[in-house]
Amino acid sequence: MNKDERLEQEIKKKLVPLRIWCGIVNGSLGLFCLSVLLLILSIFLKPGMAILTVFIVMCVVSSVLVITLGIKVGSKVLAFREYIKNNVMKPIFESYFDNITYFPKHYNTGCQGEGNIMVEGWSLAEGEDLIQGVYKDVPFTFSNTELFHVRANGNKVPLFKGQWLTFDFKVPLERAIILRERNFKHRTFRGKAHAKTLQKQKSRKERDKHISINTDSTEFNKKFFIISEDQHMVFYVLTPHFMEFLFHLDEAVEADTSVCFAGTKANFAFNNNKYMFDFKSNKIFSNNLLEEFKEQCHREAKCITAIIEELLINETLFEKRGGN
Amino acid sequence: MEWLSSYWWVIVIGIIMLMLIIGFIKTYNKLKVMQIKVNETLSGIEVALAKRHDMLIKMLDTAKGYMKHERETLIETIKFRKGMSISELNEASVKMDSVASTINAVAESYPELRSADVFKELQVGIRDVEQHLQAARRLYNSSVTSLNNVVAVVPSNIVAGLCGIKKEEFFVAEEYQKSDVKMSF
Repeated sequence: MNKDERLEQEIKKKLVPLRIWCGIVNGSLGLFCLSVLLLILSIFLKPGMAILTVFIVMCVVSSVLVITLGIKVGSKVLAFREYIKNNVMKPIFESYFDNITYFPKHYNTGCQGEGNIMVEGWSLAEGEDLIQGVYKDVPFTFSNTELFHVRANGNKVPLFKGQWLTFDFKVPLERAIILRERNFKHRTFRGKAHAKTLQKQKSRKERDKHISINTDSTEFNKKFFIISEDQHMVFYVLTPHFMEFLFHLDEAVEADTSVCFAGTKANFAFNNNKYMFDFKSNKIFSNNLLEEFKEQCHREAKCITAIIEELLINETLFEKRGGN
Repeated sequence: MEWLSSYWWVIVIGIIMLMLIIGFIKTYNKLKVMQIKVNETLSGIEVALAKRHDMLIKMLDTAKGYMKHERETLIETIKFRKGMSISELNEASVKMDSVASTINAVAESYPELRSADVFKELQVGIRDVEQHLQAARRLYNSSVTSLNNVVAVVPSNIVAGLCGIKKEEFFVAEEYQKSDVKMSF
């Protein structure tokens, strides 16, 4: 039995009690729903105090069961998720990249640097699954990231949820270039309203600082909004090949894409309202859980390699930067 | 208010005239800004071509030991001066392309030249300049497209005609290859 088969066996072994626990939680949830239904019916049909008391007790007991078991199973699912990430995801990434490090509870701080301009107005960042590595001499950082605007009353307004990728090319680019998909939308109504308020608050000087630029591709202009202070630099970085690549990438990742070249870094943000490598408790019952998870990891790793390969095509800009 | 009922048509004509004048000024300014942008972007092409010219001369100097007879002719071929018209710039660019391929062909035949540090550095430099030239060309053509579109449509074509603003010529060069983009995940 090889290493992979052993791991698969181990995961299957861990899945058996987890599935039983999840089954019990689902059962007690069903019991709770049934007892609530019976209680409502008994209020209308008035069968007698004794039966009513039985249903009330059923309701209370099942709700206590759902809460206590839910917390217990929740922590077990979390532990299983951590196990699978450490033992399946990390080795997959190691097969693609060099010097892989994985921090489950950290996030990519790229969003705090030059990438700050990609999603405007956020004040709180959260995230998990920070992966750092190197591919063809280009260091990269990946994480699931969530950005919020925190109101004065402490309420969090979600502005971004998805994957944040940062590539370090060592030599700085003279001027920043920001590309944002025209429908790079804030996923919630509150987020959208916050973005509009921010736009209104900006002074004319601030708005004029970055000029909106159109490329020579009408299709690209329809899809992406480009802001930069240097038009020549935009045409220098956004070659027709790279623009075509961004089109394909956007379709492949099924997210609203935003890209920023600033300083020494290239940031890619994919706003898809989900975390990668995440699965809910109901997924535990799927027979293809492991295969699907592996496929997701391969997909994400290939996405990173594809971006780096594409950037390295522009040899005078990125290869020189990466190679130094 | 009697005069208003008698001369209302004067006021209407006055308002229409005012609107026409404002419209004319706005269109004229828009066209002028676009023309200035075209000229600015054209200077980008000139700068890139001048750099490319200098680099090619340096490359020819480095390779002179391997191409004694052709060197002078090639330098003469790629003569470059400031203030060239678009067609002249196009021509110069094409000639520079052919000189660059001649130098590359010579380098292919002489491995010692190919491996010389100075030559390698110049090759990297010329690639960078070529990328800048491509960017400048695309930027220029994009500005020309915007201007030509405005010059071609009503009513801005009337303003353009009255002020002598004409369609500009495109800078034609080899197209980037973009059909081989593939996504394998």
